[in-house]
Amino acid sequence: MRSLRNGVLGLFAVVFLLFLSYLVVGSMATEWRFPALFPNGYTFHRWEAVLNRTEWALALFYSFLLSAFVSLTCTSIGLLTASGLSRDPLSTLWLRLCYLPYGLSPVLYAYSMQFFYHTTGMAGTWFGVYLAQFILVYPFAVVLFFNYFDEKMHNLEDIAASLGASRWVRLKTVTLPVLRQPLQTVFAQLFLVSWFDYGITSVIGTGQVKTLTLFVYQYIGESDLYYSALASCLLIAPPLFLWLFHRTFALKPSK
Amino acid sequence: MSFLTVKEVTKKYNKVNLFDNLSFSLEKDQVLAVLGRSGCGKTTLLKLIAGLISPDSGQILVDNLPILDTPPQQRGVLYLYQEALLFPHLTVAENIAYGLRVRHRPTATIRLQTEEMLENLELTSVDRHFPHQLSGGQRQRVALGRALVVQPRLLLLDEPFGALDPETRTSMQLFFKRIAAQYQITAIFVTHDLKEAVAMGQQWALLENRRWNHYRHLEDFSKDPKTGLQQEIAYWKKIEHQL
Amino acid sequence: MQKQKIPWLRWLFLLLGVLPPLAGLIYSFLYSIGGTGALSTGWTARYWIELLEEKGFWAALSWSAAIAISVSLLSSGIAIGLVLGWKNRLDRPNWSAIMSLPLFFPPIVAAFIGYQWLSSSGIIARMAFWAGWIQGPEAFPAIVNSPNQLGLVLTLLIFQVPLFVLVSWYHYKEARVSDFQEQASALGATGLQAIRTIAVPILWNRMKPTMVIYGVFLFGAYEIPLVLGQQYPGMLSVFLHQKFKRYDLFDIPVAYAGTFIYALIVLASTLYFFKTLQKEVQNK
Repeated sequence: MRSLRNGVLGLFAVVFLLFLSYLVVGSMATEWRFPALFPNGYTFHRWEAVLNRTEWALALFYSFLLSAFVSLTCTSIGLLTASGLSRDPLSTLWLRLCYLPYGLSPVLYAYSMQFFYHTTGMAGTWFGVYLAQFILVYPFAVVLFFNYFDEKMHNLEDIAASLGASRWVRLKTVTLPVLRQPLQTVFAQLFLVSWFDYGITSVIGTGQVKTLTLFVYQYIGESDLYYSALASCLLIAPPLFLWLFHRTFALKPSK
Repeated sequence: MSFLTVKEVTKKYNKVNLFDNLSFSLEKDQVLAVLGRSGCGKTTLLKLIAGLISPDSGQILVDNLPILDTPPQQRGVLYLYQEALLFPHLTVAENIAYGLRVRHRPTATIRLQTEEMLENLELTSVDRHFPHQLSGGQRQRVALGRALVVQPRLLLLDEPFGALDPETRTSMQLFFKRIAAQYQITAIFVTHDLKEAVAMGQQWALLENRRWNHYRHLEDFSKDPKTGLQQEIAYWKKIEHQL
Repeated sequence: MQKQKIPWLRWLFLLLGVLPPLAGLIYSFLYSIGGTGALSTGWTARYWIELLEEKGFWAALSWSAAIAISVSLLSSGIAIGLVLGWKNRLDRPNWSAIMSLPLFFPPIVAAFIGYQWLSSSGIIARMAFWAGWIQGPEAFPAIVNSPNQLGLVLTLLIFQVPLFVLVSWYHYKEARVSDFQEQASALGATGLQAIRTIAVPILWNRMKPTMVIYGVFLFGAYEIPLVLGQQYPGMLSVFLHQKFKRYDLFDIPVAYAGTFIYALIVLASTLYFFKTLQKEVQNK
């Protein structure tokens, strides 16, 4: 029974590692048609082509920049918002309002807002996509941070206040250090939401804004297994490596 | 001459009146022990004086100046929670020095005053420890030191030893008495423990059924049957007699 | 704790967090009744009637609800079963790391993998071919893009169950379920009774917020149903997206009417389950 349990657990590991391997192998296969279980041969020419093509390099770079900017601004403004609104007499109301866009499908949310972006000329621009993602993700950030501003956090801030710390000094010397771990977690979550977004980018970006997710979809639509796998690798790799790096080398926060 | 004056303060909590025109005064360098059952409003009273909540009506004066419009950080009044609430990311020394740093005192002064306080608190050996590495009693001492080092005008202690075991509690009571005398502290010490109230206070108050009963002498406090001190003394005398 | 209003913060939050979805909702409604848009010729209910009379819309709505509910319930059930079976193995850091791997697969990549593995020429079909169970791809059962939505459900489960296991494991420890099971045993319950009457009810209740939150997300899922679901009517997001993208401009107001209905359902669900959702977010 014990070995069965270990086996089932091991199966999960094998399945996901297989999926990852499939993407890597698929991106390097010369040909891989039915009924072959493994590719007929391997080649790096697609990877070379991608790394030499400006279009891909730009997509990777700008996607990263976009996601970093979305997560940075949402994390900081979300934190400030939650910090202030959690002490508001109507805090429960604000929190409920945060749930307005919470479960909305990004693609349908984008359609409902696209009139604004077309009217202002922001449709099809990187800034337009950034703004649309920000607006989708910001309430999510507020909800996540709201839960860290509990009575204990407020008491710590009050003590700092009574010891003479101004609002910004309290933020710098108490709030941010105490919330260091949650800040990292929220930042990472928001980064992934933006990095993986397809719906908003495709609707607001109108095909002009080419992120990696759009490349994946484009090649899936063209039934191109090889470039779909390659684009998927590029999409998964950065957050996966960052996570592995963080697990291996991250400093432990003070308790 | 009154240092702290509370004048006709009222406060409702969940539509229930906690106080009916509460009025009392406290002189400088005196420790007022406040007794009362759970939920009678002791904590609310401290938070009103500290500025963490506002009264429905009335006035509060410190050194003859009204303070209700003064923000908490400018009142010179420090409120200590029952839980020590030390900053978890700062060491013992950094916690104690915090108030001095945010007031931009010179570095040399900060170091000197922090070291002096650590010695008084008997915490020099753990100055680089983090809060989670300390015992309950040690944490309370750090919280007290952090408050005292900035020389507050008024200290408000909300059952500070309530979470400690009896032995640690007794040693903390003795410690506080020594420190209060040394630093000439003006304080309100809230407790629901009668023995602690008698030990800590130089004046006493009983908050019961929205009424404030103030006793400036232990004799008066003892004579009032509401305080329960006579019953307590009688009980222990009976035990002694049986032995 | 002193309550305090910060007016500029309230306005900032209203501007960035409340106004956009509200404006989108209002715009969708106005467009759908002819109040605005390129085709607007005055108020009309015809697009709403057209939508409500379209069987495809009701099929899409029903499929979305059915898949959202069934996948959430199945994921929870499987996760609880695995947690009760695995118990302390999940404390090892490597196992929880493995369970976190699905987080790195975005929906579009999960859809791609699901298609490549479950389609009639996919990896599973090739294994079946080499095992001698099928003679060619046409003999492999239709799992993806099929009316039974099996490929869609399987892919959603594969990528969702590990995360549900993590959440369920967290609840197992938080709620001290093993202590309760021991208590039940001490009172005379068999192992199976303790699981059935104590462990499962405790965990099932605690998993409700997770089920609600993922159910809401699944209801509006787009990428995975787009690739793996049946072509028509598909799930609601796909159905409406197709209407938005069609050449017939008169489909757009109909799509907006559908979007409005979708948004109302999601809003009503989130507000109704607000307290439940709060618990879920607190557990993150």
